[in-house]
Amino acid sequence: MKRELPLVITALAGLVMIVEYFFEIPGTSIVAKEMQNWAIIVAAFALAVAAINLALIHARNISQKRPGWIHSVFLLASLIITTISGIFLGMDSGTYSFIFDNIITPCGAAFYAMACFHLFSAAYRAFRAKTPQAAALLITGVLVILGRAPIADMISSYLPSIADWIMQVPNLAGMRAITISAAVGMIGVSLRILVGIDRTHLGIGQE
Amino acid sequence: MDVLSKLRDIDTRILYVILILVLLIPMVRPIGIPISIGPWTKTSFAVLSSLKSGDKVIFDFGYNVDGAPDVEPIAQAVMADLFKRDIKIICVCYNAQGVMIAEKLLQPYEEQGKVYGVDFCNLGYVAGQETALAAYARDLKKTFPLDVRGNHSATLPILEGVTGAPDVQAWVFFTDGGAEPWVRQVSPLNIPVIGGLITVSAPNAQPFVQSGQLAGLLIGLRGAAEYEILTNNPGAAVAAMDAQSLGHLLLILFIVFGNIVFFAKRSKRPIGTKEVSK
Amino acid sequence: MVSGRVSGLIALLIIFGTMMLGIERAKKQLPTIRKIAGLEAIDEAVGRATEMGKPIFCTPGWSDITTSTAAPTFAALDIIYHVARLAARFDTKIVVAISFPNVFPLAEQVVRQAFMLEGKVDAYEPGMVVFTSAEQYAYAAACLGIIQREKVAATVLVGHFASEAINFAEASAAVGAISIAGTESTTQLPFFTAACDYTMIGEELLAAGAYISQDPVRLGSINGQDYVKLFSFIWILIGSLLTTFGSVWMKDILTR
Repeated sequence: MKRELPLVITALAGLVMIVEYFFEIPGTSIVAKEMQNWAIIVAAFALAVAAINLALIHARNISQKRPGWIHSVFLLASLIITTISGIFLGMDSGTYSFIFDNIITPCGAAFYAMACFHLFSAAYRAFRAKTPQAAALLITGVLVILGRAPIADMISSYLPSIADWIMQVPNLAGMRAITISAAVGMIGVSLRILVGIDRTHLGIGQE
Repeated sequence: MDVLSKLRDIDTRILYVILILVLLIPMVRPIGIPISIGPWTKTSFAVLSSLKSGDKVIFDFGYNVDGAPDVEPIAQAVMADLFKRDIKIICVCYNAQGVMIAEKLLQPYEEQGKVYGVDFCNLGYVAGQETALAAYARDLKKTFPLDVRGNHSATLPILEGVTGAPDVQAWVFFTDGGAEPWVRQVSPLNIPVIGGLITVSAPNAQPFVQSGQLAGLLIGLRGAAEYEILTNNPGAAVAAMDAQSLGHLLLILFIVFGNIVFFAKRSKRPIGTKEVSK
Repeated sequence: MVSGRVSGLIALLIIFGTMMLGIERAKKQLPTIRKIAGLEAIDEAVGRATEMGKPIFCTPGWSDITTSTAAPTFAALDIIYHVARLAARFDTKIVVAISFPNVFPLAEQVVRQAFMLEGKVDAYEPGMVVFTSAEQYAYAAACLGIIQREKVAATVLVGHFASEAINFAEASAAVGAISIAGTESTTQLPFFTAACDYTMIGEELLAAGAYISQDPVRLGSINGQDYVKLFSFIWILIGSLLTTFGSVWMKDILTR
C-alpha cells in the first residue's frame, strides 16, 4: 500500500486536472480549483520544512565552528530579521522596505551583473573553434553580437540585417525544433509520471 | 611557462578589470555612439503612440529584482511616456516582488501630482502565476477585491467600466522569464499586448510577434534606449548604450584573442600530442 | 469540450497511444537509443571525484514541480539518483542544492533511497541535500559558494535554468571541475554548450531516466515519442507547403 498509494494519488490528481482542462464537466472545475489551493498550502508547508533544514544545517555549522561559520551567523540573522519584519511589521513597513530596497535589490542586481563577468571569462576560455561546427557557431555568434550592438551601424549598415536574419531564420528554426521535441519529451515524462512508469522521485521502482 | 601558456591561463581577474574599465569609462565620459531604432521597438511605439489621453493601459509586472537592470528601464520609459500623455495605468503583478517594484516606479509620479485611483492604481499580486493571470485578465475586480493600499477596487474611479482585458486599450507586461503565459492568457482576448523582456528571452518571443499574438516587443536595455529616443526622453538607458557597444566589441576581442592563442599554441604542439588545460 | 482545446486533446491522446504502442513493442524487443555523451560521462565524473577525494555537486535547476518546467526537474532527479548511487557505491561525497521547497523532500528521498539501495544508508547525511533559496540569485550565490568552497571535482547541472547557467558553468571551470549540463531551456543551452564539458540538449535530458535504467517500458515510451516527432515533422512540412500556396486548413486545425 505504501508503494501503491502515492501512484494512485498521482494518477487521480493528474486525471482530474486533465479532464478539467479539456472538458466542461460540472463539478470538475471546483475540484481542480480546490486541488490547486491544496497545492499552494502544501508548498507553504514544504517551505517551512526547507527553511527548518536550512536553519539546522547552519546552526550545526555555527555550533561546530566549521570553516566559514561566520557566514552561517549572517544567514540565520538575515533569515530571522526578514521573517519577523515581514510577518509582524508587514511588507509596507519601513524595515521591510529598507531590507528590500537596500539589501535584496542591490544584491540581486549585483549577481545578475556577475553573469556578464562570467560570460566574458567563458568567451576567452571556452569559445574556441576546435571543430568546424564550433567555428560555425563562433562566426555566427560574432556576427550576431556585432549586429546587436548599437555601434553596428557605424561599422556596416548590413550588420544589423545579417544579425536579424541569423536570429529569425536559422536560429529560430533550430530553437523551434528543440522546443517541439522538448515539448513532446515533457508530455512524455508527465504521462509516464501520471501512469506510474517513472517513479524515481517517489523513491520506489528503482533497483 | 611560455608566453602563450600564460596568455591561455591568464588570471580571469585581469579580464574582469579590463571589462570594468571598458564599461565604466564611457559612462563617465560618454562617446555618443548613434543608436538605430530596431523594428520591434518601432512596432511597439506605433501601438502605444496611437493611444489617446484618457485611455487605460494595464502594466503587468512579472520580473524580479534580479532581472530589473534589463527590464526596469523599459517600464520606466513606457511609464514616463504614457503619463506624459495622460494615459491611465492600471498596475497588476504577476509575481510577488512586482508589488514593491510597481510602488517604487509609481511613487515619483504621485509626488508630481498624479492621483492614485484616478490616474493610476496598483492592484497588487495574487498567488498562482499563470492561473492567477488567467483570472485577472478576465476579471480584475473579482481577482483583486482590494488593492495594495487597502481600497476596494470596485470603488476606484480608474476601474470604472473596466472588468478585464477587453475593457482596456493595451496590455504591457514586463518579465524576466518568457512571454508564453501572456500569449496564452491575454492575447486571445483581442487587445494589443506588448512585452518588455530581457534580452536573452527575446528570440523565443519573436515568433509571437510574427504570428500576431503579440503586438510588439521591447527588448532589454537597448529596447528601453530606443523607446526613450522615439519619445524624445533620453535617460539612463540611452546613457548606457555607449558602454554596451564597447562591451560587445570587447567580447568579440576576447573571443578572437582566445582563439588566436589557442591556434598558436596548437601549431607549436608536436604532432600526436593533446592539449592539457589547467 | 472547452473550445480551442480539441486539437490539444487529440495530440495528447496520440502521444499517449504511441507511447503505449512503443512500450508493447519494447516488451518483445528492446529498442536502442543512441549514445548520449553527457550521461555516459557521469561514470567518468564520479570516478574523477573519487580519485581526487573531492565532492560532486548536483542541482536540478531553478524550477518548481508545479509549473510548466516540472518535467525537466523530474528528469533531473532521475539523473541525480543515478549520480547518488554511484557516489554511495564509491564512498564519494555528494552535495545536492535545491532551489524550490517542493523539490526538497523529493531530492532528499531520492538521495536517501540511492544510498539505501547501495547498502550505505549510514553514510547518508541530511546535509547532502541543501535547500538554498527560491530567489534565483540567492540560489545561484549559494551554489557558487558550495562549488568554490568545496572545490568540487564534478558538477552535474541538469534541469531548468535561467540566467544563472553561465555562472555555474564558469564557477565549475574555475575550480577545475568536470561539468555535465543538461537543460530544455533554449535560452541557456548556448551557454552550457559553449562552457561545459558535456551538454544534454532538450529531450536528451528528458530521456535520461530511460537511458540510465535501460528499463524496457521506459525505453519503449521514448521510442514511441520519436514517432510523434516524426508525425510532427511531416505535419509541419506539409502544412508549410500548403500555407505557402494559400491553404491554411492544417494551421487552422491546430487552433480548434
